[in-house]
Amino acid sequence: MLELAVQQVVNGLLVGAIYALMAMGLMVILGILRIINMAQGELYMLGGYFCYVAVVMLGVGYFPAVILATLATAGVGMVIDRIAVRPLLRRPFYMVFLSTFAVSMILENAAELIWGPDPQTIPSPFSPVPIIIGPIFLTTQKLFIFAAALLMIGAFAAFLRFTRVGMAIRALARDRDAALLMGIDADRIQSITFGLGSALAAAAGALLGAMFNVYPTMGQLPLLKGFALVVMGGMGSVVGVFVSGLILGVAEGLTAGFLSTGYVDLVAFVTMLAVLMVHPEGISQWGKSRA
Amino acid sequence: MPKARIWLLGLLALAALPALTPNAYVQYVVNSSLILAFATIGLNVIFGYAGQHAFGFPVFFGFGAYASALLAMDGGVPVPLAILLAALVTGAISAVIAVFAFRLRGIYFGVGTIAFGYVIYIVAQNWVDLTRGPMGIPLVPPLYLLPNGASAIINRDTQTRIAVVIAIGIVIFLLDRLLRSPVGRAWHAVRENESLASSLGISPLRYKMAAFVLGAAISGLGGGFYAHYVSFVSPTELGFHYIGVVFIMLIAGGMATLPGPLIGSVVFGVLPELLRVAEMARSLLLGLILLFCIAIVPEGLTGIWKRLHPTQRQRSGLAEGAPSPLSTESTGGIEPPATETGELRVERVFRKFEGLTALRDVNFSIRSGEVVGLIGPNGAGKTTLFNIIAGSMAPTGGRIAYCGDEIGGRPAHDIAARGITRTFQITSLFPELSTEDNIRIATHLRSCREPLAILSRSARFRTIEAALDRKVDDIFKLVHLEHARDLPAAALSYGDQRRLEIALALATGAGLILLDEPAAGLNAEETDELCTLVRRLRSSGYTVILIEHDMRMVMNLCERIIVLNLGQLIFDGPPEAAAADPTVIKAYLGTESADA
Repeated sequence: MLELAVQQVVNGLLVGAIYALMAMGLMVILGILRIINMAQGELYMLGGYFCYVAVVMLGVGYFPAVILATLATAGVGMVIDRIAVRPLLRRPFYMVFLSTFAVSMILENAAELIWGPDPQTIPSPFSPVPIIIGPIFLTTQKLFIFAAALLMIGAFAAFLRFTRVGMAIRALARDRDAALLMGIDADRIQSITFGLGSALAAAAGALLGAMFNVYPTMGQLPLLKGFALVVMGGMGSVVGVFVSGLILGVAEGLTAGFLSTGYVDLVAFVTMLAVLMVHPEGISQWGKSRA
Repeated sequence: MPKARIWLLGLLALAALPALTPNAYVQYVVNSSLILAFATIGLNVIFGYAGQHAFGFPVFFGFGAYASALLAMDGGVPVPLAILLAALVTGAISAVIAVFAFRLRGIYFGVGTIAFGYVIYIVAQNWVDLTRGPMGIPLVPPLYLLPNGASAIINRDTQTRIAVVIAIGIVIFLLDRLLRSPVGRAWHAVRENESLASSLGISPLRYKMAAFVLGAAISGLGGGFYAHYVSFVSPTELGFHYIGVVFIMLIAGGMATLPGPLIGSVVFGVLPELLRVAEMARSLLLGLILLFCIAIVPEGLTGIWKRLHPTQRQRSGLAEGAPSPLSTESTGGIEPPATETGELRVERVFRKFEGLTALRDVNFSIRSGEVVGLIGPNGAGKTTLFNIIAGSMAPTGGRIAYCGDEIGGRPAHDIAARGITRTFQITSLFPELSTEDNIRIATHLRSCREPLAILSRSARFRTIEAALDRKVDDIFKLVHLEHARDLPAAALSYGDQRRLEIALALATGAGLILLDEPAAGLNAEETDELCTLVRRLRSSGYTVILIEHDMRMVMNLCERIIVLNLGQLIFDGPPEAAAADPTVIKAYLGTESADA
């Protein structure tokens, strides 16, 4: 009993770190640019497929493939921003919701046409032999994913905090007009932010794709869970989103272990709705000042 | 040709034309598109008319499908009745969701409705005992309206289509009546400017809830037809995919129009099939259509029609008319307030914000029929006091009574119903709506709002509406805005916008009117006109409190002046005494300093 709990908590932490990575990409776009990017799940999917293409078709090694996939998807994200988001900024905000929803439909269908509806496997160099520490079973792959997610989230947080571009992103988030008056090139910063958000999603997709296969609809659930985390963690807070991700991972792990595997995906939404009922504006007190 | 006849012909064509082709597939495509129109019409009610961004709303279509299928199969309810009950069940469940969802605002509301939709999806997949799980419900009994013998002559596709078209006709007929009633006007008001709507006596929550539940019930009705038409319901019908499809139909057809959703559903339900694109690329195609619509024709197909055929009324509205000259001959007295008037008592009122006390122990009372000026330096707490009296903000201490009833902390629409309304310091109107519609919305409190009277167009309803039309005419004359009747409020000059604000306050019938800097930005002539109007209001029995920085106006107009400084009441008395009062002078000019 206890052993199962420990195992599920550890699994939950590993999955939670990936959730956090995915949500981080959404957070920069939703929490900072105040744009609902419904195509974020498809960017996650593209990260997975690009990695697959690089490894299987181009014969690149797995680790460089992850980086290539991340960069390529960042480019796609910037194109989406240019085509489907920026022209609509002065229109009602639901227009961007709809246009990115359209992009999401297009990308998902395109992936199905190109790579087929069946799941594809990304061959990875990790040994399938589990590491056993006391009652816990781990694989090197899981540990690698966890470490990579932590590293990327840390690097992202440092980027936001310590670089000039990061500062410009935060300024734009706080007060767009004031930022413009200070001479910040909003278009360029938005483009960079979109690229970053897409890269984070793609990295999550490439890492998890190697563990769970890649398929056209793989982005839907991470998108929805990402929303839940961004809202729970407080829009715009790296720490809040990260902690929420870990909590969600653990809660799901325990639900799967002790309650029901069918309802696991409900955990995120029920928690989010509960948080919103208490704080209808999200836990915004957490966020802004710490981003 | 009258509109009703165009509708009738259009619906008849939809019902009859597909029967001419023997191709069963064509019939199937048209029928499914027509059935999806319910989801589009339902979404239009909440998204188009009431302006609430309920992104997850299309889930109610699938919910209705499940409800109807289960009622017919497990509940043994006859199919036609099951479809109707499905609409009711969907409405009921949406009411529960709405109670929670409307606690959220902006982006959170949109994301929240998606989350609720997803919860329903997961429950449908996992509650196997009820829903049969991910495999769905096969063999849902079909809808037959005619006795068995007749079904041989008129096939099931045609029967379903006739039933669906009749149902759409009824829904649109009733919806049209609702839209041309205080309910439809309240939806527009809430969509355009929620805080103004509530200060005019419209409860935003009530009308948002009504739109949510009505829209869900219409979607659920369509879901019912769907289940019995395709004979199969699965969690797919609750899935993400439907959101995109239904939104395309709405946006491409034309949001906030009656024919838009129907046209959108038929065109964008049939088009992908006509193009004979491989089934595989359907989402890709729909996505491209949606992008195209957003970029090129955001107002949809009906919008293109309007662009090409501007109606006569809009054209005449654009003709620049000169405002009528200041009328010195007063056209009789102004009609007295519609509500009971009485004393306003403000007792020991406090309002604290974090670390700041905006109002400290404020006491005064205002008798019925007074015109009182509320003045004080910037930051004195004048507008905060208005916010508290009018209900946009609750006091943190003390009580406020009007006509003997405690009103402190009550919602704005409730206070408006008791006869207190206000104007805003920064002009607040329904910018997209015509001047006439603005004023018409403001008559909400005096209108007949019983649903049955509205839907049946009862004699009482028609009498009241006609009386309110005349009332609107009177108000137009009173504020000299006849020339701008058909112009959107946003197109009015600044001075006319401020007049329109006062017109809205008058149209509510409230007896106590709070004017927040009504003369700010007006020229001398307009200010004089405003003074005349306020005097006429007083002689007709209205009570007026005004915040104003134009001292000449305050001195001329007010019989009493209340001065606030740093949240405290420092003077309450006649204007001449205020001008001589040392604390008032000190508050305005500061202490005398040597280097003056």
